[in-house]
Amino acid sequence: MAQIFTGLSETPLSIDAAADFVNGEKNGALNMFIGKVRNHNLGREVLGVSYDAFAPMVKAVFDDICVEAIEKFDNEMRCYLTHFKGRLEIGGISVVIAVGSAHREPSFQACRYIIEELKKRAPIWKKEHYSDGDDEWLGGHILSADNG
Amino acid sequence: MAQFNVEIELYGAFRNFDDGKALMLELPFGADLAAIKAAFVEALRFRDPDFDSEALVEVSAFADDCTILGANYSLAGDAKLAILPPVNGG
Repeated sequence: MAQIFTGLSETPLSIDAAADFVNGEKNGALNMFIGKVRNHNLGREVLGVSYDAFAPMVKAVFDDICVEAIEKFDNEMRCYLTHFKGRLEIGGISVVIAVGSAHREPSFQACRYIIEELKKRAPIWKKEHYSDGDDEWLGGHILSADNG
Repeated sequence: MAQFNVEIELYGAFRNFDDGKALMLELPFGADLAAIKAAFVEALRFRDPDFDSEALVEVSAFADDCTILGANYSLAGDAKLAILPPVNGG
């Protein structure tokens, strides 16, 4: 039976928790995507990133995306998806996605699907903090009633 | 015509205009998204005379707790909404 865990966290995300959740005796594959804060963007030196989120909707969108991945790729897989809210310094983990499945291909496909859909649909925003003291909210994907 | 109170929660780039107080609009029964956006811009200009991000409002969505409002939305009572600029999580 498929299993899903999703969440939005203001405490550090756990890679181990994700791996443990998707582990299972039937699963021969564990695929993981970890998003981290990098020290540069568009030629500017980045010191950190603050993540904002509309929490009531994030959970529902995360659940929808994981259900879609299960329906598309393997109805027995396990999916784990958490995103950080708050400020992270360089190297901080912003998102953890893990997929466990019997075979490798569905886990690769589902992992990719989940991160790409998250970027388009989850009400989450990031503000970069730069070494020159400036900061800036980044642009992104327009939400609509059709894709939310 | 009856006026309803609409509280707007600010997210993402609109946090720059968050002064700690709820942003309240007064709108009539049946107000559509265009009317809500126009009132929102006016309220932000009142809060910050230098506000010049109408283009960002134009590409932003409004939502209640669990649904993005569609093109056929019309106000039917007091409401608490969130304005959601373009997203970029991950």
